[in-house]
Amino acid sequence: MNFIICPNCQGKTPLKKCPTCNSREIYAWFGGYVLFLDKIFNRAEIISNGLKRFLKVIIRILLILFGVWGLVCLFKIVLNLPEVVIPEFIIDILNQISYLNISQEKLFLYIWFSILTDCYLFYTLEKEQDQRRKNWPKSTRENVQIPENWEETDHLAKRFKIDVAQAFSKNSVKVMQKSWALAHKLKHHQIQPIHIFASCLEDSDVRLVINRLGLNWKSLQDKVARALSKINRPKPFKNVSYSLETQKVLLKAYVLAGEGNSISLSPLEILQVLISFEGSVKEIFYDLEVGLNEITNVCLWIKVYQELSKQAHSFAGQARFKPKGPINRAYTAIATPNLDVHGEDLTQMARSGYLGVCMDREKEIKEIFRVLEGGRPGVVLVGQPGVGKTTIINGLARRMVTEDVPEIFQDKRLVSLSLASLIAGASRSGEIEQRLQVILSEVARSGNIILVIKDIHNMVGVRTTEGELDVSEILSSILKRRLFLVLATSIPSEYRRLIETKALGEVFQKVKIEEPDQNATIQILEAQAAPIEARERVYFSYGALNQAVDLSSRYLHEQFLPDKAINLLKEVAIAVKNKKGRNSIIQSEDVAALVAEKTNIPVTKLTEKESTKLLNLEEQIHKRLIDQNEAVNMVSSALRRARTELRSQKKPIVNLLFLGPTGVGKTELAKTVTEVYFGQENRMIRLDMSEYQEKGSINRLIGVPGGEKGGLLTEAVRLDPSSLLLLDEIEKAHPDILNVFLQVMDDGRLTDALGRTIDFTNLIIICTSNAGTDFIQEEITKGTSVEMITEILIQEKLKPYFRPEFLNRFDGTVVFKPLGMEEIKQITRLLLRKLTKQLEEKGITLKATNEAITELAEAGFDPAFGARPLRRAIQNRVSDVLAKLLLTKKIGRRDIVILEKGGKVRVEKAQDL
Amino acid sequence: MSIAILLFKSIFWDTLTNVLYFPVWWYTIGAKKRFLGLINGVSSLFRNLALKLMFTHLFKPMFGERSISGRIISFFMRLIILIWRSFLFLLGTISFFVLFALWMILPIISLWQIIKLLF
Repeated sequence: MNFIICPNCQGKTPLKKCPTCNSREIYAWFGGYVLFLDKIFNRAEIISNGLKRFLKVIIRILLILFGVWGLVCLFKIVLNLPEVVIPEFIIDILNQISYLNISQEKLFLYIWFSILTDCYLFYTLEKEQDQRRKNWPKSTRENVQIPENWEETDHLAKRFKIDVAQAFSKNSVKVMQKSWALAHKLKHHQIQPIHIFASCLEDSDVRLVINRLGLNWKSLQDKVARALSKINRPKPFKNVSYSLETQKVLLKAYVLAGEGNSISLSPLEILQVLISFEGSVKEIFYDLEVGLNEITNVCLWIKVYQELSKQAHSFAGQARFKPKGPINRAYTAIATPNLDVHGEDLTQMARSGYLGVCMDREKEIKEIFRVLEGGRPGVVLVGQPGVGKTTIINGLARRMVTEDVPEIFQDKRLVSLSLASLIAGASRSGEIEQRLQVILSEVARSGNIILVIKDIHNMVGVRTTEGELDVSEILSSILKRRLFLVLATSIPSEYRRLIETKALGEVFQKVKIEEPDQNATIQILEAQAAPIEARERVYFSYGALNQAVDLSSRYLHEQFLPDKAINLLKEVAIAVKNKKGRNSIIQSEDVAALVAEKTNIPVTKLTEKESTKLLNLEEQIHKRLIDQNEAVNMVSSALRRARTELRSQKKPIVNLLFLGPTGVGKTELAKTVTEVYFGQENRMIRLDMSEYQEKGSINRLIGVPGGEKGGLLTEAVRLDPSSLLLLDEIEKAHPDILNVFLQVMDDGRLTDALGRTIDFTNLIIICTSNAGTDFIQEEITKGTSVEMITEILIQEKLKPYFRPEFLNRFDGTVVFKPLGMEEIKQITRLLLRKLTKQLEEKGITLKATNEAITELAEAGFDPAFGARPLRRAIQNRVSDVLAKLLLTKKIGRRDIVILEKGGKVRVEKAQDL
Repeated sequence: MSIAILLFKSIFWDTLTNVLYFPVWWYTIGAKKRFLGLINGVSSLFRNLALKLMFTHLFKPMFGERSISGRIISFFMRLIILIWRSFLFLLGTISFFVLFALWMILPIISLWQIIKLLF
């Protein structure tokens, strides 16, 4: 869209009339037409409009009264006719008129005159409706030279110029009038976009948009008031005109309304354009975390609602002509008693309004029509459960009610055959087969039935007689004769396994039903939200719908859109109704809370408490782990990035490789992270990779091909997608297994033997390895820096164990330093603290002298095994002694046990009570 | 534009142009709309009475009765239905035409009568 601004005044002469543009200031060029805004909504306009409306009402009342008078006169004449019987009360009224003594001639004159005025009344009413018709040209003008300057534009023929004010809806006119009044009241010399926005807020549709966005009214109004107060007030104040920006907004809104096939330019279009222009309105929404996309989608939502209610009205009108019973309009159908028992008439259900509308599936429906019109007797809709196969069939049933279908579907009914009902109670040999034969014969003879068989793969193998055909084969043999049409549904895996290469595959053409994309799902949800809202008496904000789509597609992996998002909305509606009561607005956070509860993944907005916890993550980890600062810092930063969503959404939260000798805290750090981040230590999936040294052990990880169970790894991650995966001693795994993890670390997903894609994007993957331990110990003793050691390890020492691309996948490689005596002492204190806590539960206090701690540390220190022997030392020297004391009842509640030098354990008995 | 001029425009000028435009609208846009309405009404009547369907299915047996007696009965039954529906269609069509005719002549007749009665 090109704007052409008056070269003389540059749109800045609000008070004086510009001789070049005559105050028109700006033109817009679009689609071969010139758009301008001529109407000024000022005080005179407001008064004159009000008066006009008033006069219109008065004239109409007079015309109606005169019309009634004409009728009275007509009655009077009819009354004088001897044959006509008139009720008494009318005669009484008419007799009153006799007193007026009107001649017959005058009565006729009144009647004819009233007919004329009635015609005039009709004309005024219909003309008013006509004025609301499309105010847009029918098509754009192709190959037209764009005018280069004001002169050229101004001299264009009148028929190519459009005054956009003529397209304003009644509500838009009100908004413009209010904007003028607001600017006038505040003594602003220009109506700026913010004035328009402030006035828009009083419009009912715009209010609906704001409510659907879940915005806080008070905060929004405060922001608007502040923005208005910042506008300069010129002195002296004379008049109000439009700013150039406002005119641009209105011209663009006109185009937007035209593109959206609107009847008139409504405040919703003005709102959408307001937010797309740089300025205070955009800033306000930006501050409230609302973008153009959200506004556009909510406006679309409101239009979808209006469109749906219109459609419902016309549907009800058209449905009246669809026959109620099984007989078609051509009377060729026959009664189908057997089918009626085992089937469900979808067209009748649609006719009665029991089936919902089908949104955004035009492409698939057209494909079904094309295939069946092409001569195939059957179509099978193949798609994952929940992608909308049934909804498409229901949509088709609705279209069959209004006969908005190709000829082969017209005057027919869609009947869904229930397989369960067909099989139920069949005990005699051949009974199911016989039932099906009878039903299919009814369908064929009736000729007005299109059969629907949901989950057709269930038919394969159903039989009661051994060695004979199963029901699917009976169906396919009859279908080959093309006596009737069948619509079936199936899921991809079963279709491949049971239909594609079998008898049914020959007669059915596959129509793939894909999962709708996120935007299409939002539109489907917008249509589906209404019944949920009506049932639960709660309201969805746009954010809630968006969040439901976003989170369900990210975290609910074994279900499919739009079904999983709809189910989520249903669940959240009940949860919010129970928690906040009726008429509450469901916000995005409510949806996030439910998803977090279902998946154990932290997806809600960060709370103050959680933020503090994340900021002090290092401190928290160090409560359990001594030293290893580099490793702790790296893990903590990764977790903070993950929680603030500043990480790649297509990879695991973080992939880390911990290197170092045994007993230095690699596994301990993994456990600590699990406890601190996920709340429980058991949210860790631990695989000892020394068990996966064979190539074939890959089947244990991801499942045996053709088997019915997933693998150890894939099942564990599927059940708890938000956890820590610890791969111990990774260097011992077979190289092919490392290749599997290569993909996991890169793509964040893995396909198991059953063909399911398992999501690894919410996992923290930690691999530990003892590779290069000797080198690390040597270099640490030499005093080489950890950075240098890490560098040499990656460049040289790890090469025999891992391929470079595998090492590249790690976000961080951390070398754990061997522990020194000082660290061992601290760990001793930590372990003793654990023991103290255990004893506290028994009412016993455990204390240790510094000498005892040093002694224990020395006993448990082994440079080759790190802190591991320390546990044994504490176990032998302290725990065992305490256990004996407890068993011999030498210590009891309130006693104090003190560990002293030389491994002595002194007991301070508590005083008797 | 001053308030006075606008008010004058609202009260007198707009009303006057409205009245003068009335006959023009009635016999151009209005007549066209009524004519389209007439065509629309007749075609939906034709569709709703399923006349074409009844005609093309005249020799087809009703309710799957394919025996000779069934076919004969069906033919006569269909014929009766077809005649009855054609009659309804004719009646409906005539009503639509009458309404259209009324639209066209009513203002002229009433004007003519008024003139006749007045002078």
